[in-house]
Amino acid sequence: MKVVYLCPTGTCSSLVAAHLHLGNLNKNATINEILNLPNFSRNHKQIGLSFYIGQDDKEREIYTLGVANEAKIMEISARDLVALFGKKIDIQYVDVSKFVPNYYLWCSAIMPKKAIAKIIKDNLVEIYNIIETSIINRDYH
Amino acid sequence: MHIIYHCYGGAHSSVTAAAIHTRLLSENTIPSGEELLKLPYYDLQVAEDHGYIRYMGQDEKQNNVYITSKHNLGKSYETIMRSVAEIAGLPQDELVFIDTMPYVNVLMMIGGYLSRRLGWVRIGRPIVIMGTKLAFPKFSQLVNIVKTKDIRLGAK
Repeated sequence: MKVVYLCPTGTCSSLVAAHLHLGNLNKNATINEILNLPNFSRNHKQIGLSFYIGQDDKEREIYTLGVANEAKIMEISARDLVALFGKKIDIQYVDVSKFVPNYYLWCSAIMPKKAIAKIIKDNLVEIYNIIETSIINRDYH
Repeated sequence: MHIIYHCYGGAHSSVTAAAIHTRLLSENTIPSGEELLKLPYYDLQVAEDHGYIRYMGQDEKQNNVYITSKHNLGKSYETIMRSVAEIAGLPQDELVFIDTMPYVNVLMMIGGYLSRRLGWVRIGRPIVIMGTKLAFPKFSQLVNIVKTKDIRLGAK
């Protein structure tokens, strides 16, 4: 199984969510711990790149993917794309876009990394809850 | 091979290009409004349909042709989809993504907005049809390029 966390850049809330999932961060992490994550808030100019972050204890591969502000339709498209090949590949998409402001892609070049890290830090518990809910729900199915 | 034409709403430009590709429309004759409206998905898709990849048919080389909508993602759409393909382990060289947005004219934008976004079909539809007819040679040329050139966009 693969888990893909979605956010506008693939390097902001999705990256934090992926590291929370893997236990590299906890929900009380500091802003500096977020800023020190590899690739945090990078590559905002090239939308659509994916990053492999690691494998969890249940051998799930964890990725992040930048989808601009179109997570909903991209999740639909992604599922349909896999279906074109008639393959049953177990991929779970977890949208954590809402923790990155819509305007971020427009002003990311001038917005300090610390500012976006603070926004995400303030929502760490909620992000963690989304991960927990998604994964727990998944395990029961 | 899977060929996916994509535009903002998957209702006009991608449908027209895919219809030419699958020979639902003749590439040399500008279609009538009636012919356009007979095409699957033409001026029909609404916000709830966005993102879905819709099958349009097969071309003469048995390639499967589809349309989809990607809002304002522009070129990022292909990058995202190729990233998904990579994660899922799908063969990149069996996927071709064609952006039809550069060939969309102002009439198509205005008509499409009125018809699809605002639901003013009576006003928007004739405008978008007029725009599609005007842009038709460009869509035809685009399809011709796709068909004649050995486009293999597998390399990321």
